[in-house]
Amino acid sequence: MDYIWSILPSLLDGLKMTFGVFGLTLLGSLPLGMVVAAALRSDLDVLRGIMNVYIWIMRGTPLLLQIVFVYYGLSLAQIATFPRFEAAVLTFILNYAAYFAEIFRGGFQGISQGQYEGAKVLGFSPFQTFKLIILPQVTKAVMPAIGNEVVNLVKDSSLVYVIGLGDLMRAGNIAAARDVTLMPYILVGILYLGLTAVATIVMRQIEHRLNYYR
Amino acid sequence: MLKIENLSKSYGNRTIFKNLNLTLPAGEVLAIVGPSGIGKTTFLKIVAGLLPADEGQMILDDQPLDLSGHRKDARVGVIFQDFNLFPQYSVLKNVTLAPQTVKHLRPQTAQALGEQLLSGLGLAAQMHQYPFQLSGGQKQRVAIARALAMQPGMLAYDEPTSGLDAESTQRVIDVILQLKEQGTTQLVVTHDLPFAKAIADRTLDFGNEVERG
Ligand SMILES: Nc1ncnc2c1ncn2[C@@H]1O[C@H](COP(=O)(O)OP(=O)(O)OP(=O)(O)O)[C@@H](O)[C@H]1O
Ligand SMILES: [Mg+2]
Repeated sequence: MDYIWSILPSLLDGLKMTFGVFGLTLLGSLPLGMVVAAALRSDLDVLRGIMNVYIWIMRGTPLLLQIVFVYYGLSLAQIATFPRFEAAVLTFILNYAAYFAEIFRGGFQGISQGQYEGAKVLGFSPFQTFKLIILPQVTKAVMPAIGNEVVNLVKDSSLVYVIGLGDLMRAGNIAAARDVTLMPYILVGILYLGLTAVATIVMRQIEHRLNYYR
Repeated sequence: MLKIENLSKSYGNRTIFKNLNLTLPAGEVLAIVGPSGIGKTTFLKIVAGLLPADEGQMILDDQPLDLSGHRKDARVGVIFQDFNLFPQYSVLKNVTLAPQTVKHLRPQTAQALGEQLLSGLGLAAQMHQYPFQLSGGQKQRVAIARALAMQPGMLAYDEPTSGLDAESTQRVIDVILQLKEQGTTQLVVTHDLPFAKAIADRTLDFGNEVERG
């Protein structure tokens, strides 16, 4: 018990990093995903092509590779050198935006043409139609899938430890190696379970709020 | 009054109608009938401003209607075959949203207008429900109220009785005749001939009376 108390501060410190990566990634990737989804619906073939290649690469390669590539790779090739945290957050945003864009794309496809027509004959502008008619329905439709990704992000954030960022995973690793015990890993596991449980409950709550109509 | 002059439409090299001329006096009901695939919905969507016409013009109450497919006004109120109500909004908000956001009516004014229209159509008890909670006939009357709330120069319906039982169909007939009495100009696309007969001052048979060649 004393041992747990002794390593808890360092784990909680790691938790801050985990929260940072998690929060900034959501903050950046949700809007970016929406923009990419909009670009996927554009009339410009070139733009759609670029977006499809971007999504294909982001979803077709491991996130771990992408993190290492952005942090070490770009630096080795002398293209760009990012600090660890910036490299991690940038990669996470680009990666998750691709997944979110796919989800939003599906959400937009599920809206019937009739909704656009109904709005148009009432005189709504395209922007009003998007904001008042389409977006709320898309939001409801994508929420379960977004929820899954949010829970995944909690766990994926542990990947930042490969570039030496002091997150929860790394804090556990250091303690386990130093004290030669299994205990830190168990604690880290419990903390992740708690985080994913909270994320799941929050997302379910949001879904539930949107369930007042069909 | 709706005046249509030399209206033509084709999809690629397939002519749907050509040189269509038509006058619908104010307050009258015109039924458009004809077999499936003849172009009734195409015609209605052009009247509604949802599809561009190739040629011709349309004048509603002495003002030309945009036929480019980019119409921005709501002078033609449309009741769609599957209603296209906004599922996330209550019945009342379906009716008040456009007057408020498009016409900038004050919320209380829009609310009063919506309540009045819905009550007039027998939907006083449904105002705070959501579209998914309504029957087909009720949804349709919400769609009518929603269109009327923009005070359009005319109403256009696409197959308003499809999917309705006899009782709801009678109700639609009553509503159309009630609106006619109030002076609303109405254009109704249908392939239900008894229904057309019950409502229309005039019937245009798209199969036989429209040039296509
Ligand atoms: N966007 C389009 N491009 C090409 N052809 C079309 C298009 N929309 C409709 N058509 C064709 O034009 C013809 C008229 O279609 P429309 O939907 O207007 O018929 P309708 O009279 O409303 O039929 P129904 O009674 O079945 O509703 C049909 O043969 C249809 O296949
Ligand atoms: Mg049709």
